[in-house]
Amino acid sequence: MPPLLDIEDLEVSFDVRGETIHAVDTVSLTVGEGEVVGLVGESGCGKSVTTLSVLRLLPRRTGRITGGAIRFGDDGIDLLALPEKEMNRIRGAKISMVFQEPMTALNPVLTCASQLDEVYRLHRGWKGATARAASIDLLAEVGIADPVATRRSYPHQLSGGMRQRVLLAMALACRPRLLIADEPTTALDATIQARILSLLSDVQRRHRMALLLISHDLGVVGALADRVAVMYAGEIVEEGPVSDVLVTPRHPYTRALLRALPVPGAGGGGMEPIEGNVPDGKAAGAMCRFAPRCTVARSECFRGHPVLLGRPGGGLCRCIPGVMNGDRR
Amino acid sequence: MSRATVNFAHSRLAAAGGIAILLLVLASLFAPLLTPHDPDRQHLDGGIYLPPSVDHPLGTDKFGRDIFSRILYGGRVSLAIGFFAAAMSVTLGTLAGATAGYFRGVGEGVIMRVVDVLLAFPRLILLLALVALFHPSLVLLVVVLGLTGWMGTARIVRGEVLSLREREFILAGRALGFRAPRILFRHILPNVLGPVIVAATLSIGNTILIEASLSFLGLGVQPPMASWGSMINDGKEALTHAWWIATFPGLAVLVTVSCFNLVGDGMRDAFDPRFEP
Repeated sequence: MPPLLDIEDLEVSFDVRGETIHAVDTVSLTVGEGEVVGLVGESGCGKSVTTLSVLRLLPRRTGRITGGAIRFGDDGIDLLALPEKEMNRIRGAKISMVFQEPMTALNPVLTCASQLDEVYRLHRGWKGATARAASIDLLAEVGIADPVATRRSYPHQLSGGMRQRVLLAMALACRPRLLIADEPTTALDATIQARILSLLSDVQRRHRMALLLISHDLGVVGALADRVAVMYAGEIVEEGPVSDVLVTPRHPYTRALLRALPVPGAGGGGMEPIEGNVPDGKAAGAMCRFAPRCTVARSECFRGHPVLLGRPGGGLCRCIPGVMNGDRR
Repeated sequence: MSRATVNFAHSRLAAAGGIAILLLVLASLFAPLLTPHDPDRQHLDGGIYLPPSVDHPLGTDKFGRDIFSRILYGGRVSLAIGFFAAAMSVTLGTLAGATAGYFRGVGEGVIMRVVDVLLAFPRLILLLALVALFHPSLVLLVVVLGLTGWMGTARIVRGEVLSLREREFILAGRALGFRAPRILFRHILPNVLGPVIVAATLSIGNTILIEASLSFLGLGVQPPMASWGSMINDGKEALTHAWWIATFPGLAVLVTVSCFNLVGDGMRDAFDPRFEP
């Protein structure tokens, strides 16, 4: 049986002021039915671009998908080849998305009711009382204590956590088979974060829905995901089961990300920042893209672009074998 | 004065303007009940050039017609033309600006260049040319005023839409499968309503002023139908010995246009949180 979502060799570039930026470079990633896959990496590494490509929501004037295929569903239709009209039947119905900023992702001049009911009207053809009843059930399901009153509210009357719940309800309205959550908790404070995450995991299990979770927070991914893919400078550098990748990371970048996490009780002392910045995707030469920032880079890292190789413990890693296996110079 | 005081004074002016407009609209609507004389009835035998009196509160003109009655009936014409022409130009401007701002591309270039060209013409000259081409009528006036007044609104709406289309809730709407027309009309346009209402209000005042100018020049409302502009024209030769003929319709234009501007400004301040008077 094919995976639910199969991204193969995706390439995305942006035209910015006459220059071409390669934001995503031959990324392949699969999400199985009911599977939770985490996608991690620093800001600007191409996580969001990859997921926006799945729904074909890249900025129309600048962003271009230049190669690859994104297959979805049992018959593996290529989303990139679908007419826009067909694509709109998939968006919000079979694949939904939750965004980072709950404060701005709801229309400020419409009530939650009209925004929720609109999803039902569009994809299910439900109106009036049917849509109303369904949306009240849905708001209750995402843990809103007073669904009737919340439905009638305008977004500015709700807190960030409540808004994220409403957005999640809108995304779940049509029981999608895949939910893409792009940093769903980044804009929320810590206690609300934990509640939204447990809600997300709860809903995912109950509906056996696949979840593609984008985050720069390895803790969040470790708690929810079955598998994790680490992106750096537009390509996947390590991918495998969460239990293995986050416990015994093989790629120096994954290790650096883990070392950059705060250690509880260490008073910030355990955190090691990664020096330098993500390259801007203009000069992708024949070398390891992480090498300039890598603490264990060798001369051969600057001479050839490493390929994804099988890693011990399962999955893939884009590093030369000596470095990957932790041999020091 | 503290900012709150200024704010209060400002909103009081806007409220006063609103009330004055309301009174004016009611007075024009109920003109037959309020006016003592038929506005077109002439009294050539001894009734001409009568100064303001109890029987003729604002005097009579060279045909002996009652100025007060003519101002109320003329108000019907001016307000109706102002309202319908502004509605037309604001609708056109909103559609043009929203299309340009949301879909961008070649259409945007074409629409905005048309706006630039039309704005480069002096509006009154353009109107004179258009009105002179056809037989003057009220419908023609409304259409012509509507067609020459939409550019400002188009610019405002395009600017708003350009920034709104990049907001996250638009991306979220697209991710839910909403198609472009739905996003534009249901999700973007309600967010532009504030500036559009302001533009519409200011546009009514401006249109009344232009209509008065056209009628003054004899190309607007045709006699014997009363219109503020043509009444001023009628009175201009008699200004030295019968000042009331031109003065009162002139005051009517002044007060009406000022009230619409006050209300428009007040609403702009109310809609714009950044504004500090």
